Amino acid sequence: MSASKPKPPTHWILGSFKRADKCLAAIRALRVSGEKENLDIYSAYPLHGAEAALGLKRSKVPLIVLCCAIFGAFNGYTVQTWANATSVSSLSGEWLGSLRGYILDVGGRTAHAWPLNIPITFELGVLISAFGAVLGMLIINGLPRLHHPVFEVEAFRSAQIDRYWISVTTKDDLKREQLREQLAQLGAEDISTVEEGADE
Amino acid sequence: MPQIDPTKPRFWRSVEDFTSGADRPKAAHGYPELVGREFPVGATEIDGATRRDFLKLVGLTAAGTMAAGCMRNPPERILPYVRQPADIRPGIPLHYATSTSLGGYGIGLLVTSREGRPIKVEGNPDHPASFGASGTFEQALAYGVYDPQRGKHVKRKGELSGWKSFKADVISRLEAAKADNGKKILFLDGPTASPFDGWLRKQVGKTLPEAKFVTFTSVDRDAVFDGTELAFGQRLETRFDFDKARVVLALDDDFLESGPDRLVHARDFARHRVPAPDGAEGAASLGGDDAKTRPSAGEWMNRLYVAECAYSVTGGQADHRLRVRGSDIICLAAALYARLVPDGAADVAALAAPYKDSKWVAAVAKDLSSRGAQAVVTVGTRQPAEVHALAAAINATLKSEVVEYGRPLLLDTKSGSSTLKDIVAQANAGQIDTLVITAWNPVYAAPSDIAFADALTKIPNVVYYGQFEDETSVHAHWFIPAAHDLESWGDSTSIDGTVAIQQPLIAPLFDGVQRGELFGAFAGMPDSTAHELLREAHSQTSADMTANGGFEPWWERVLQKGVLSPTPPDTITPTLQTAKIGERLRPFKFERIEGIEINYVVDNKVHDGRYGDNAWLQELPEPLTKVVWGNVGMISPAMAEKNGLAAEEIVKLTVDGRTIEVPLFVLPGHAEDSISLAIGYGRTGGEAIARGVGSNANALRTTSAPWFGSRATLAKTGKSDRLGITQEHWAMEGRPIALTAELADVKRKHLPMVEEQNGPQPSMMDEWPNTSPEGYRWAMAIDMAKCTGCNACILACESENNILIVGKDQVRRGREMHWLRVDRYFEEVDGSLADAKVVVQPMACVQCEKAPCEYVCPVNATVHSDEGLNDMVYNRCVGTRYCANNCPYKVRRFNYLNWHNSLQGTYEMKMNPDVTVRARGVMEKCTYCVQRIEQARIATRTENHGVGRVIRDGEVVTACQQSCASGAISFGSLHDPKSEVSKKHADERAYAVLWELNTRPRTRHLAKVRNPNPELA
Amino acid sequence: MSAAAAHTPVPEHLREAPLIEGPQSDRTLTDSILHPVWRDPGRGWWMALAVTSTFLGILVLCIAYLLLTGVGVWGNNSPVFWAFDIINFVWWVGIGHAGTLISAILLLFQQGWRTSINRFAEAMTLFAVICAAIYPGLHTGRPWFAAYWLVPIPNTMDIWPNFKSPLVWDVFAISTYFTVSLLFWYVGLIPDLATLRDASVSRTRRLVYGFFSLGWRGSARHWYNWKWAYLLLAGISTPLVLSVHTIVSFDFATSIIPGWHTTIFPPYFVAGAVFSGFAMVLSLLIPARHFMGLKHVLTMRHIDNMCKIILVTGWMVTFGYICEYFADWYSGSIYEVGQILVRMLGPYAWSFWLLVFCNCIVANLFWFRSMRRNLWVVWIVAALVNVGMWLERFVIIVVSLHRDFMPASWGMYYPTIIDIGMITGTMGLFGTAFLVFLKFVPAVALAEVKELRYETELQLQHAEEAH
Repeated sequence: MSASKPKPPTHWILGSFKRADKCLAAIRALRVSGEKENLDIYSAYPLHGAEAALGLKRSKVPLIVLCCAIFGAFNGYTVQTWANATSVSSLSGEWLGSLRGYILDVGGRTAHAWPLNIPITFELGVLISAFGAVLGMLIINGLPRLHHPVFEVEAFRSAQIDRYWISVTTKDDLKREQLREQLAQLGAEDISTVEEGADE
Repeated sequence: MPQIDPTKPRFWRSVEDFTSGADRPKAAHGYPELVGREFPVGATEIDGATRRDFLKLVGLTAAGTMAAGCMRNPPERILPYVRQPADIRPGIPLHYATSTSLGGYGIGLLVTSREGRPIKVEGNPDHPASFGASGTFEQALAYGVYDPQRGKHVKRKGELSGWKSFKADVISRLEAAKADNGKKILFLDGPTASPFDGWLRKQVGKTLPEAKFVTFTSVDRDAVFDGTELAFGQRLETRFDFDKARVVLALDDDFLESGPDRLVHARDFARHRVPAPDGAEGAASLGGDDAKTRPSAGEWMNRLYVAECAYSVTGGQADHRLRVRGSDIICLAAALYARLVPDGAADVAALAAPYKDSKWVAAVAKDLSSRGAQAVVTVGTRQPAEVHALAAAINATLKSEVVEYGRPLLLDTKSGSSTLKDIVAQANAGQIDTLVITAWNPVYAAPSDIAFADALTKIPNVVYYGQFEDETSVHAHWFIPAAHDLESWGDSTSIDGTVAIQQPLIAPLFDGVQRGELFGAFAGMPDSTAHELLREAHSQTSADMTANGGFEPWWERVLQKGVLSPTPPDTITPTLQTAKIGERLRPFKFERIEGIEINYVVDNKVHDGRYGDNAWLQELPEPLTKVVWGNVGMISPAMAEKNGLAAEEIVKLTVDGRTIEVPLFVLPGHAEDSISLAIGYGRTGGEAIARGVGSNANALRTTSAPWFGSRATLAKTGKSDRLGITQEHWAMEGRPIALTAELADVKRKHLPMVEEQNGPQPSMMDEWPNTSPEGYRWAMAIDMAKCTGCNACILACESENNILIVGKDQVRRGREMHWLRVDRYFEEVDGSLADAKVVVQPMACVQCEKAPCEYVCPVNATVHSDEGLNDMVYNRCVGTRYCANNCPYKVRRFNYLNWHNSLQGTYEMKMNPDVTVRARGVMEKCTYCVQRIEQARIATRTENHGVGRVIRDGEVVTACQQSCASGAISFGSLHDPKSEVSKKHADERAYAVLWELNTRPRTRHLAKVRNPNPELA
Repeated sequence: MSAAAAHTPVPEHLREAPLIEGPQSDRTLTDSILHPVWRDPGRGWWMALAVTSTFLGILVLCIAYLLLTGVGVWGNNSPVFWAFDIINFVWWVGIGHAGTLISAILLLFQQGWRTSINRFAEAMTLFAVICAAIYPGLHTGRPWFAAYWLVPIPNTMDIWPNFKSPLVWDVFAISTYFTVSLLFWYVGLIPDLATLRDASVSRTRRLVYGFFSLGWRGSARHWYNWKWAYLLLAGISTPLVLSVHTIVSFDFATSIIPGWHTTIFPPYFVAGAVFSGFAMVLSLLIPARHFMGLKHVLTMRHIDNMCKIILVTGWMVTFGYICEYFADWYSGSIYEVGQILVRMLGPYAWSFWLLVFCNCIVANLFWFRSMRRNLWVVWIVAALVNVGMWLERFVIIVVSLHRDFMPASWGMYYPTIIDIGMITGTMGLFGTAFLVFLKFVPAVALAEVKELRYETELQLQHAEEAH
């Protein structure tokens, strides 16, 4: 859409279910009726078959973690080798000089004793990939986001306790009513709508 | 009331003004306590409490002089030993020759001075008695001069007074004394052989013709002179040249560790403690002039027999040691006399009875006579004149070249307790008006049966001249603080007759009065300085002076070299009077003391107690027991078992009615039914450090039995005292640590143990290249055959490297800081400790080429230098102590607490500016005296117009090596195959301790050699 | 349960006990598990807190005194340069291991029974590692430098850390371990925080929990990525937890001291860590489940399983000892053999034999089902195991050091009051942290328990449909 037109509000239509299977069935039905990306399920624990029902794409988290692991391990090894087993005299000056690694005779041990560098290499790999996993997950999930339209619905609290919620979004005012009915037919309870970005 | 600012030297000058008026300041900052007798508050905690307490005391008392002390150069002109500008150049150490005396005999010193502060004492290479080496007492002078506990004020009846007032008082008394020629004035001096003292006495004699001089010390040598008198009819000085000796029998004689020429003895004896004269050895024994290497018939290595009660340093060197009570020695001597001296048997039959058929005596006698001129019998000063006479007779019969006699050098050859007896008698008879005490602390040192202190109360005017306000000063009307040897002008005579000049290194820190000035006052020269007096005393000296073109040039030369041109010692060949000996000994019957005999020994650390306030010496491990901070009652294992006694248990020790309490120590090789106790402890004087350490043996000693011969009873107290012991475990557990070999095996090169601990070790890692431009590979060799375990090296190291003392409590916790330790192992003889043999092993950082300490340090605080030093980077160390854990030699020392934080004032002045003072939480260890290596490097680099040259072998001398009289330690670079250390490493006795760990130590030890008599094997 | 199993009913005592007892719905689970958070902690909690925080205070005082005076306030000396400081460090780190093991390894092995104890165990890991981390820092002579000289920060001295030193490895291992455990724990906690947010009645709580839940909505997309992240964290934590105690053991294994220089250390340190860790979980969990009314989710079956693990790891440790002493003896080195003899007969022999009793003998009670079911027995055994593991470190560190190569340098070690104060103090810290955790965060992973309930429900349905 172009910026010239005022952004139409997004309608969030929410409905809750007592049973997980009912909830999943409703999602499937909605998908059949052509809703795709605008669907979502809310539950207090990972619901089996939810991602299948929603047809989610493969998660990016594993890829991120892999990159972080390689990055961390590489750094770990390089820092150690640089500091203890290299001697670059060209580096000089106030603080560049302090970056200079150099070789010391430490108990007559070989300067570049790679087996001794394994532990830290490993640990750094683990550390960075752990951050990758957590931060990656949060970023992909768009968290932290302390406020969200669904929280407008008081009843939605039960999503974190014992209910299964469904949300459908649409920008089309006409479609809104139709979706509400559809949800009702699918057995959803306390159906409610929230307008996002309406009041601006 | 005048507020005192103790940091103002001015204050010290004006003590008298300050004391005039009743308003003595309250203890605002503890000041009056410092001045007053009651000072050492909490000083008695010293053995129990942390050393930091006493260092606080140190700081407190020192505070007064810290500002003043720093740059006080003697007003008189003194000349550096080496040709250097006399004015001080910062950073350039100056060396001054001076001398000190112990027991009256002089030892030449060479003192290193930095920015006007004497910081290190060495032997004077030009002085025959020290030849560059030094013992513990000499080393400890560097602490003593800065000891803040020293007396600081002339006092009259305990009240602050001043030198001026004293002199005024003296003058008035001299006037009064004119009448009776000073008949009622008596000088009680310590034994002295100093020409200056002789001269001073003459001067005093001029004003007071009838004033008497007597001498006293509790460790006198009277027996030596009485012995010669008995044997030869004249009182003679006895000297030994162990360089000529091949078979030595020491009867209760610790000749390697005690006596006026112990250093010379140690050197000469050690020269022949090895299988053959090794090339390196000449250089090793510092100043060991090769003229001494005479062609000697037969065996090069000597054999030592020792008969003694408690293990002594000399005893530890013995090839055969017989443990006998002190009172049995005479019988032993008699038995030998009977065998060796023609028709002597009859005279000593009664005495010799106990050892008549002794296998030991027979074998020794045989060995002695077979060696003839190269054999000698020596006797300790503890033994009575009779034993000395017997020995003299034996030596004369053997025609021993080892012993030689000369006229007595001491001004007074009688200085035993008899002197005090006379004084007491005269005092009681009111024959003494003024008693001037310059002897060390007679009230403490007097035998228990002489009421010397009471006698003093009967004398109207007692003057005590001493370094400390001690037991004697309490009873004195006048206390005159004595200047330290390093603060005074004077001179000394060593036992071989060499006269050495004593010149001050620093003006008296605490306004101490110099000896010369004190006697000067009595000689009617109250205003002339000791310097002037000394010059005058020596102005008479003639021949040599004229040869050097008059007094001044001659004087300068003397000051530079420290010694007057040595006059050859006059040797006397006396004639033996066996008849007289027989006459004296025939009536002797030997009645054995039933039960336990008490046996007093002179302490290796505090001597007769005079060094009690010297914390360095107090914390020095006793060579055999390894006990610090105090004395112990030494008993044999068997006796301990028999009487159900255990080490560290405190017993009541009673000798004819007098009782002291003393902790026990079970010492292998100690004689049965006998307990040994070192004198010099249990002080009650004003010295904060000496006070209350150990128990006072003098409280038991009597004039009749000064060293042994009285019966003691032991009673359990149920108490026990955890001793401060630096080595808790005596056994080697069959581990190849300190190796020994027998002469025969060394000769036929059969040294399996040594070979096992030798040779190259394979390594998975490629060798580290030697990147040193000059190729230096510093290394050390320690010859255990020569080492006697005398501890001199420990103090030398302590003094050179600013090593701090930690106090008894911390030693108990195993936190002593000595970089160099001397391990002492007892070797069981056929499964029993009764006659255990001793082997001592000096152990400092061995500078491993593959150092286990280095690779575990997380912060690279200990790394290897390109010259093979295992460097310790103090300011990088964070103190994980991992290195110390991983050090198989456990030679690293850790600053668990801030040992130096309360070092203030005078003690700060002692610190060697070339060596970092380590902070709390930092690891430290031996560095091969890296600062000395660097000094040599700087010196050599600037040579040849800045071209520089390689450091030659022997140019770097480590502190321990320099002090070692027996030349057991060699240091140098392995890159030079001809260097002394290279040769030592190549020696067949050389091995690497813990070789199997492949640490590749740069310090190699040479196995100890024993030369047993096959007949006694 | 398979259909076959349903046909021939297995006898009661052999049937696998359920992991969630009683009829439970998501609502009831939420209420019961969140109850301890909502309710007023009560007198018991406050009294417990009073005790633990007193010891925490002691710890603070000890540390202050230590920093002002120096390491000398401890009993450490020469030759025993390391003592209580490093013993406690290794002991606490070891305890920490159980948490990660339960949450990570059991997750990978899909052990259902981990769900209700993992939160608990992970929290224990965090607090244990905090206690451990206190020591290596403070035991150095100059902690203010050690704090940053150990990590490669460019500095004016131009000196880098020595990466050949196991102590540097420690720094990285411990800090990584702590960070990863914290992340793992927090990621697991986010959904529960969201539940707390939405179940809370008061506004402040809603705001606070809302903040920490980062706005978690439980959307399927969130859950999808969350599950991946959680799985991957478990994946990397597994080698991590094995590596940490391996690296700690390198502190000793890489040295040359007899009794330290042993290749068996890494595996048996890890086994020992798990051993002591589970013991600690048990000794905390048994009272906790009682006082917090969580018996229906922390069931006897959980305890039973943990007892079995203790039994197994106990034998691993025992095997480790046997290997070590065999190797020492077989080496023929007088120093190694000497070390065995010193341990068994030397002045500290009591510590060795006590450790053998605690680590090798006591745990064998768990061969018997009745013993595993008797909570008193279980608790006492768990406590003894922790004592035993502490003694193991005492024997390895103090006893090995006090008599190493040169008899002349042998010495004894005696702890000081400060040493005692610091170990009890860290226990106080541990306890305080734990009590606070129990008060403000659900001690049981709510979301996971619900998921477990849901899965078992599905299983039952399928079982019925199978008929």
